[in-house]
Amino acid sequence: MKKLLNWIEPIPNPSLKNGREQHSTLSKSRFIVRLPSFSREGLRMGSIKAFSIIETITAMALLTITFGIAISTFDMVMNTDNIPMTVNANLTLKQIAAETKKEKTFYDETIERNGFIIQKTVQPYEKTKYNLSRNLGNKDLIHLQLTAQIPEQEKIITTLNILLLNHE
Amino acid sequence: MLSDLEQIQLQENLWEQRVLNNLKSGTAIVQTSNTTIEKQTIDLFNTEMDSVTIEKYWWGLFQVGTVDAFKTFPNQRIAYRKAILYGSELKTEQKAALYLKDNNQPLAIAGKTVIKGDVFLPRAGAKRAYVNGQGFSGTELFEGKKQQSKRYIPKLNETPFLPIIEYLVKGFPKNNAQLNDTLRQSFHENSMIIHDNIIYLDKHYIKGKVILMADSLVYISPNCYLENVVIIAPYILIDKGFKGQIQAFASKFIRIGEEVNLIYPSIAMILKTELTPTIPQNMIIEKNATIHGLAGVYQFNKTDLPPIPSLNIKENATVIGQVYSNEKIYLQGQVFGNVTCAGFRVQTAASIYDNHIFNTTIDYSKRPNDYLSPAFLEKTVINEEIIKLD
Repeated sequence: MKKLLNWIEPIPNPSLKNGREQHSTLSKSRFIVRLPSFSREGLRMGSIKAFSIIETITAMALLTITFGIAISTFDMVMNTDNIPMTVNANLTLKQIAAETKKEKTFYDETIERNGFIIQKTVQPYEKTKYNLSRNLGNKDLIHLQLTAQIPEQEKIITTLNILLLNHE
Repeated sequence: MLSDLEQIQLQENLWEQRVLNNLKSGTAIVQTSNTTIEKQTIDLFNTEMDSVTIEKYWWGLFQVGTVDAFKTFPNQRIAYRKAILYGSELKTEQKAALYLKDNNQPLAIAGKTVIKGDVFLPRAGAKRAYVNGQGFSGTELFEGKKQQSKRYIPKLNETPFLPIIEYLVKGFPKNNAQLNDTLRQSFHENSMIIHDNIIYLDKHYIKGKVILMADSLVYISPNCYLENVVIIAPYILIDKGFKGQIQAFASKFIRIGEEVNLIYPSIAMILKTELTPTIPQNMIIEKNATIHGLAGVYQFNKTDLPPIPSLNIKENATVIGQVYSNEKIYLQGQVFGNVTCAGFRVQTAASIYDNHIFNTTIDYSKRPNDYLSPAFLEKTVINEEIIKLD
């Protein structure tokens, strides 16, 4: 506003001698408006205020960050459902593994829990790659595999593999 | 971007859970193994994403299992590891208060002797007797079921003893570490071996996978802190008031001083590879000393029994665990657990009584329920967790 006022100035009246009178007669005066000039002369004199390159880059960076945050927040909101689903599925599998170990339910079964279908597979652990079965005599070792999937969907959300002792 | 960070964090947590599960699986493999396992890295479920490094080795008369589970990413590594000391469940003969070899003589019981628990006795059984004019003061000679013992005591599992015997007979390795005031060695690393002619321990702090070997003597003062340490020497002297957890193996003599407290699971054992007629007694457990674990004497040369008892457990000395000897023992203190021996002897100022026990207590019921044995007997399964190690 101050800048705008600088562009507007009254036409000087020779009859007025002091500033007070000048101010009081301002509304009655005629005005001339000096618009910013882009002439070569104006530029050279530095009368136009503009942005430096640093300011421009800073502004662009701020805009980019803000935009990025907005996009990723949007993305996060859109994907919010997947995170608890994987975590829930893992927790459910962990719980079933603990129950299997405690109750010694070492057999295959399908369990529905917490909105997931859990496929439980139990088999003797027979590792032959390093000839461990011979060395370890691990006949009491059981391989428990648990997979979680959503009903009516083929996709497996998560899998848990663990070895348990039969005599525990 | 925040969502990406959250996803990365979630993935990390899931991998961490997976690595922890693999650590449990590796521990299960090590635990079920009844043999040692050379250090090796395996892919548990053929997924190329579940790697564990496992190892199981003898540590004195126990076994140590180590498991390292890990997942390596380009700029990160998730790793967990565990080391466990394994012992064995007691065999039938060890679940009795007494196993006395059948040497065609009855066990003579005199004075205020108490035997609580099942007993394996010679065909001749047990009888009341007098020592220094004191007859058996109890009502029952023993409180438990009687079974007949064999002409030999339960056989030794020689496997863990072989390297110790080799050290004692052939000498010790020369490449060894320096005996600093403080020594700590993880069970995931190689053994730290300290060797010298005489090892004098005073104000030392030694913990972990450390073996102390001396050509002649190891002396342990009460100002030391020793934990999980194996000691091998011809002579071992543990001074009055020491407290710690050790496995001590000597070929000639061990003295466990007064008020010494060897914490579970400790071992003090004489391994005789030659006759030592100049040493009247190979192990003396002094008054008020306590051993939580095994105290034993074993003569590897099959000779006739020496007349003098090799192991002397003095008055008010206590062994909570097991006493094992294929020679005679002089039992004046008390044993809360099992005594397996070839014979007893009582010596008074006036006379000597063979196959007698006098004023002593053998009480199997006072053995701690969670006590696990070192694997010193044949055909023992070593897969019971005793303690977690560093």
